[in-house]
Amino acid sequence: MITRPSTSRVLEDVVEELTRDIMPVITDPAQQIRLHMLMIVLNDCANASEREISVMRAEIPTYLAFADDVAKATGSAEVAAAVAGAQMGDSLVLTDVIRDYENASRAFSTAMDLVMDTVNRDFIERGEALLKTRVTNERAILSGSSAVGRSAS
Amino acid sequence: MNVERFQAFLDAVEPDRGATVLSASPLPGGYSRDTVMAEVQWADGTTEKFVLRGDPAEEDSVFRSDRADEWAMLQAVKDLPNFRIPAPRYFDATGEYMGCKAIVSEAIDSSSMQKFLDSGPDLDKAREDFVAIMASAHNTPLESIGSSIERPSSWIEHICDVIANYERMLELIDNCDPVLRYTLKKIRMNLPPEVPMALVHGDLQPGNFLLSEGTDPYIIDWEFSRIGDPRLDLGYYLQIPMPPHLYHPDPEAFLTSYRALTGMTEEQINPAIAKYFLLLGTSHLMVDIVRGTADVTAGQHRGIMGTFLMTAYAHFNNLYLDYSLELPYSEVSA
Repeated sequence: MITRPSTSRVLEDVVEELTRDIMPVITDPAQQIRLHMLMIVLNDCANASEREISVMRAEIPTYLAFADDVAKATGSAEVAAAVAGAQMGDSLVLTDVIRDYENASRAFSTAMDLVMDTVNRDFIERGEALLKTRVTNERAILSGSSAVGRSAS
Repeated sequence: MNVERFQAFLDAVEPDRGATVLSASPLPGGYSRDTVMAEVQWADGTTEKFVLRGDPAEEDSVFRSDRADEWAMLQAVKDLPNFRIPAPRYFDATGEYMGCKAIVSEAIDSSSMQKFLDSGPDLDKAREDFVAIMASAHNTPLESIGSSIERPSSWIEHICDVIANYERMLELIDNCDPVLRYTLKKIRMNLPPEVPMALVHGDLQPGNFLLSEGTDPYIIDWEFSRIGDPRLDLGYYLQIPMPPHLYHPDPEAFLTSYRALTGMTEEQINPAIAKYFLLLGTSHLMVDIVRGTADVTAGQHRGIMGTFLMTAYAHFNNLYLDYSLELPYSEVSA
């Protein structure tokens, strides 16, 4: 059954094996550092496997709502076109969610460019809050040192 | 780069000295270059230690710099009175012998300033020493550096080229990172006052200062050096994560010393402008990080750094947003 263990738990177990049995027998300092770096990557992958789809699916509507509001408030055809080309589909397949997330991010950037150029304070404040949430989510997933599968929860 | 390759190289460049390479061991650490410590015995019985710096295979590398450019800079600064560098001795310009372009420099019996900082010294004194070393590079008269080193035609052209690193990042990822795009816009709204161009190291941090008994400190790792705005080095140092940090506990004290040694005014360098230059001083590395992640996304292998630097990407995005949020809104000026 693919849920037992979950992907994050599999990666956690791999890191445990590397820590317990592989790392102690490596004597070359350069290779020890490489292995440590690989374990950090595995930690990040475990965190990502737990949350990346849900994080992206949560952010996409906020980007599109922001851009849509900017398009309506300013009458910008460019922003409206960016929103129209960036709707969120129903698919939860990772590559589909990534495509939707990147399209929504571009629409958000197009809107943000406009409100920054015109120094529209209300929209700027709202857009900056979305940026803060974005980097907070990125850092929670790509923390580099947290316990596998657990830091973002 | 190993014993056999270095032996063949020395046989070619020092045919009359009867070199015997006794050892060649990789040094751990270093994000960008392969580094090897080697010991050589000459026919007259003397021994000498060398540091070999070569390029990793392209499929194993993320950070891009050119050994020929680095060698040219080492030749340009090796005899300057302002600061010391380990003597650059040989260059395998084609990789014919070493397997990659490689620079061979003398090894200095020393320890890094970072290690010294770890030992718990007086940090006020250490800060003054650090600033003095930084200023010694930035005060180098450009006319003393040979014409082989490229000079931007103007400060504004140079700074626009550095800012364009953000356009390069965004192009690599199809413009899909709103944080980088926001940062770029804030950078363009807040161009700092011009300062005279100077020698910029590109990776100026205590780990790249070597302290040796009885001599002035040495500055190493010149791979990202160039002529440009010296505040790039200051901004770069702000993001160095290794404690103890010599800037953050007292930015005013740090910058007062720096201004006194370089002649810059408070308008030209102050805490706000230092933060601005973090955004620019790290951008050359971020371009490589973004390229590495883009390559991995496209199915290419870039060694351990290609995936490991996902974390650095998130880290820099966080810093960039924090610092660019503090910048005011104004008319775009670049």
